[in-house]
Amino acid sequence: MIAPRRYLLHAAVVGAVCACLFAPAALAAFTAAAPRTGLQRAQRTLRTLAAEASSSSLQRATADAARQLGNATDRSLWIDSGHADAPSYGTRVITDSLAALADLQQFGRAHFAEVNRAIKLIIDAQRTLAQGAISQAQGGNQSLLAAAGRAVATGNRVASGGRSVLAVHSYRRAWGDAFVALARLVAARLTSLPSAELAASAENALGSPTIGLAGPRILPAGARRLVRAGKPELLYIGSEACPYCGVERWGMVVALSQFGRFSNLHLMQSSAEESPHVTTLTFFGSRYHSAYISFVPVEAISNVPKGLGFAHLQPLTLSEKALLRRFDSQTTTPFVDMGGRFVSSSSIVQPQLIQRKSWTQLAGAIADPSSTSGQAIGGEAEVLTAEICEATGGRPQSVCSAPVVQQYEAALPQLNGSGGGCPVGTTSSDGLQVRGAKPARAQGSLAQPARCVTH
Amino acid sequence: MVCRVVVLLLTILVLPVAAAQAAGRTDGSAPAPASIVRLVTHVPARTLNAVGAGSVLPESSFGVFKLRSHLVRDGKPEVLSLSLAWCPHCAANSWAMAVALSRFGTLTGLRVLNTGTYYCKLTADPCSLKPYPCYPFTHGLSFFHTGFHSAYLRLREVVIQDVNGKDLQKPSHADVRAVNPFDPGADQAPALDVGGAFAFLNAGYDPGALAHKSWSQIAGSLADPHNAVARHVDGLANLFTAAMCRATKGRPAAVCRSKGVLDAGARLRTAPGPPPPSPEGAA
Repeated sequence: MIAPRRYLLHAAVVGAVCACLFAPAALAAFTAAAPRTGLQRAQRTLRTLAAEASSSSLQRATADAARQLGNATDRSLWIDSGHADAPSYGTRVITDSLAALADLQQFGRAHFAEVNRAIKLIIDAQRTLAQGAISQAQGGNQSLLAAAGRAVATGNRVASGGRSVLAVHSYRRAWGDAFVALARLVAARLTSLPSAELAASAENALGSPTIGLAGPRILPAGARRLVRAGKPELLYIGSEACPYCGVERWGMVVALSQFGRFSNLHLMQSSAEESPHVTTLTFFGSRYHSAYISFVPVEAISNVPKGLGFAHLQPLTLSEKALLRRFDSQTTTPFVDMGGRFVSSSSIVQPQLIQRKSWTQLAGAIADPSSTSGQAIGGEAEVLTAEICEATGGRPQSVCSAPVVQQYEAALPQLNGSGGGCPVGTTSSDGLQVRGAKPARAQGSLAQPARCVTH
Repeated sequence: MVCRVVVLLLTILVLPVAAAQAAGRTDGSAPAPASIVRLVTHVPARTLNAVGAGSVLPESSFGVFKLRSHLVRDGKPEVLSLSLAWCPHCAANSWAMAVALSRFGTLTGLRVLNTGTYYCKLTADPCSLKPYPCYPFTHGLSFFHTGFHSAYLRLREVVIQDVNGKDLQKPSHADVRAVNPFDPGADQAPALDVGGAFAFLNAGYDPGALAHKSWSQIAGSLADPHNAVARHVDGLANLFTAAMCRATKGRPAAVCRSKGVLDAGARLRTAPGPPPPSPEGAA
């Protein structure tokens, strides 16, 4: 245990060095490495220091800080080297960095250069993260963005005074505020989309081989209807980590927003380990109210790696499990049951159509009828809108009587695209299903592990 | 220009193997304890005869193909095995391979291998609520740098990747040519070519049969014809042995005319030729 007086002395000395290092903070913001790269460099510096440490306390502290940075740079927490996952998962990048800084503050006079190099890299990374989030959220809530900007300025000021932990707390606040603004911006855009914009993108998607819209399985007229609170129920079972669910949610939010109101939608991203990687939203924690439809979303799997897979998030009820197994013995997601009339067990479009795009790029793409990602989201939104209109008996008329919706309702039985499943006429290589099955993986294969096979 | 091409080819074809050897890299295996080697290489003939065809998987899961070529090296039929150290299906077959080869000669430097979790990472599906069976930590044997002295056969083992999925040994052009009819591009493992007479693709039994079993437990069970693991391993060993007997033209007779080998070999009579090249497979 380090005595408080000595701790203060160390902090003051580290601070004096930091003051020299961080004077040109604004310049550093433009020259800093990508945040994840910077944190990895800091980790390497600390590992070297730990290996050469002259005392066991120094060795322990630097090794622990390096371990914390290892956690902060875990692949699952990053969209790419410049962007951390959205909150709450991405927050771990900052909390783990803070833990590393807390370890580093225990050092004495020796090893200043290495310690301060690592501290500078950590602070640069946090600042760049905050500034990147603010930049992404441009056009969002002005007061939130102003608060985020002030927090960055505060961070810069306290960093130049050598108070690295306090600086990172400020950057965390800025990053968090910016993400709140970004989430609201994206949600507002999706939930209040002008119908003409949606119609233009959706019309281009219909019949486009590039978009390849997959229609739902249409259940017989006598099938048991899915009803809740006197309204047709739309049951969605998904996984936050799954890119197929990721692409499906964009269309679902747009479609459902025409029949009711969402609140508390949060940004999300599919697993970084799974290709393609897509930015999206999550229904976990969201609320939805509609006079026409009951929406029951279940995000069964989270985006947090655990063991050999991902941590479970929301349990399925027995009846939901039974329904899922009835239509898909492999229990794959996304699974959508629209009122017991339409069922699909894969996404309406391929997730590749929206990969490598930011939240704002995708939210803005729907207004561009020529963009592939806009057509993909518009098309899947209209497929779902058409299904909902069928289930609600054409209510509300303001939505269901739109020509594009009528066009999609008529097209539902003929939508033969592959969507997120194997193309029609093929089956996944383990022979599970004809359509709706995601490509299966071959045992011990060095080739592309997933593939579809022609009959 | 020609020189550059030659250098490039050498870099691609020779260096991966040479580099792996020079760096002393292994596939993640360790030398097998003598007790395990003894149990695996001395399974009693009466046990193998009692097991016969055992519990080998049917055609739909385990590919057995009749070939029409001759894979020979130094005047002896060659047993060519392509494997991946992380692959639990390869680990499953490795026990039967060791039992079968031991009937034709002597294995030296046999190794034990734990396949770890790399296959689980490859097959993890974040969209599925039902975990894919990925057989983590399957215990098998490794023939990496293992010697085989036999009057009848030669063994060529190519461990393409180590237990962490890193490239280790690259199949030669001749290897790829040999397995191409049943394993195009040599991209599937386990793949076994027995002297150009027969080929085997995938695991002969479910690797789950070895779950939670140590090397000693697996090796120790092979002499009991009623043991479930022995019925898998010894049955597959008899099938491999029967194929090897076809390649050696029935030598040694004591092995090739034994009841267990003849029983298991019945499957070879109905084995189809390799599947025709297929243009599909694109996702």
